[in-house]
Amino acid sequence: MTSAKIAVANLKGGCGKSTLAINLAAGLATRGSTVLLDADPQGTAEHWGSQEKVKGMPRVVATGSEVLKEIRWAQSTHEYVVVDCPPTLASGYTEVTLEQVDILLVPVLPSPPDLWSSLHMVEAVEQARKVNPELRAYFVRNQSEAKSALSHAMREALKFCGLPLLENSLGRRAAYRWAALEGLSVYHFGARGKKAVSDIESIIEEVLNHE
Amino acid sequence: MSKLKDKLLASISNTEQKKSVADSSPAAKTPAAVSKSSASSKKAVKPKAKSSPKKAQASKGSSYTILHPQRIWPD
Repeated sequence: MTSAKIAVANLKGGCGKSTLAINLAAGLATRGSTVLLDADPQGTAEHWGSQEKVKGMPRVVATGSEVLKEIRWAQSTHEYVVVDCPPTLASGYTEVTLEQVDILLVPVLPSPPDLWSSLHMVEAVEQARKVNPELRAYFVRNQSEAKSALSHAMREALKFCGLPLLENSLGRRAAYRWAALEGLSVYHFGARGKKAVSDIESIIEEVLNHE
Repeated sequence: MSKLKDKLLASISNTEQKKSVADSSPAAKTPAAVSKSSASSKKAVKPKAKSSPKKAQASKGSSYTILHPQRIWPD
């Protein structure tokens, strides 16, 4: 049934996992039936999904400890499955997810601590590929700024960090935060979300068409 | 730009070097080694506490002076 199962994970908190997962799911929902599985006990995506709904928003399901069971259910009932992973390997949820999905996106903020922490995901991917050799994993720059020297340097440095880097990135935009406040994705945020939608669309196209 | 990128990459290798040194240290190898190391460090600390009576007195005296000046110069 599924066309793509995509996990969003990083062991660093606050790097934009849920923001990417939510808006990615909203973008995929314009292409086919989509479910967003919230495997993070913090429940950010679940909370977002519990707010007021508008037509076209993807369904959000909190997995609790039943991550594997929910992924299997989701892939048999939806075209696109997005999993928002917790910022830790301790629970085992991230490992289970990486063994099941087709694609992993690792959002990275343009800061050295985020770069260092993100390297742990390279090891997690290597482990997961022992069970799931087809897993495609990418770094995705989040909050990138066109005029920031550090953003540019991060882009160059990430090319040497063990996972391929997506060409497209999420810009530093207030629309993501404002949309979340209203329980919306940037796709449902009108003109204010236009540039953010363009970011997400570029990422989706790059990921789905990248082999 | 290139310098900044190199600096970022250097910061990564510093982190990895520190990690590999920590991983390869004898204390990090086994839990037993860790507990042994911690036990020996306790032993190493013990004699420090047992300093000579003279020294202990002097140190007691000096901290007493600092903490309770009113005992020495009562009102």
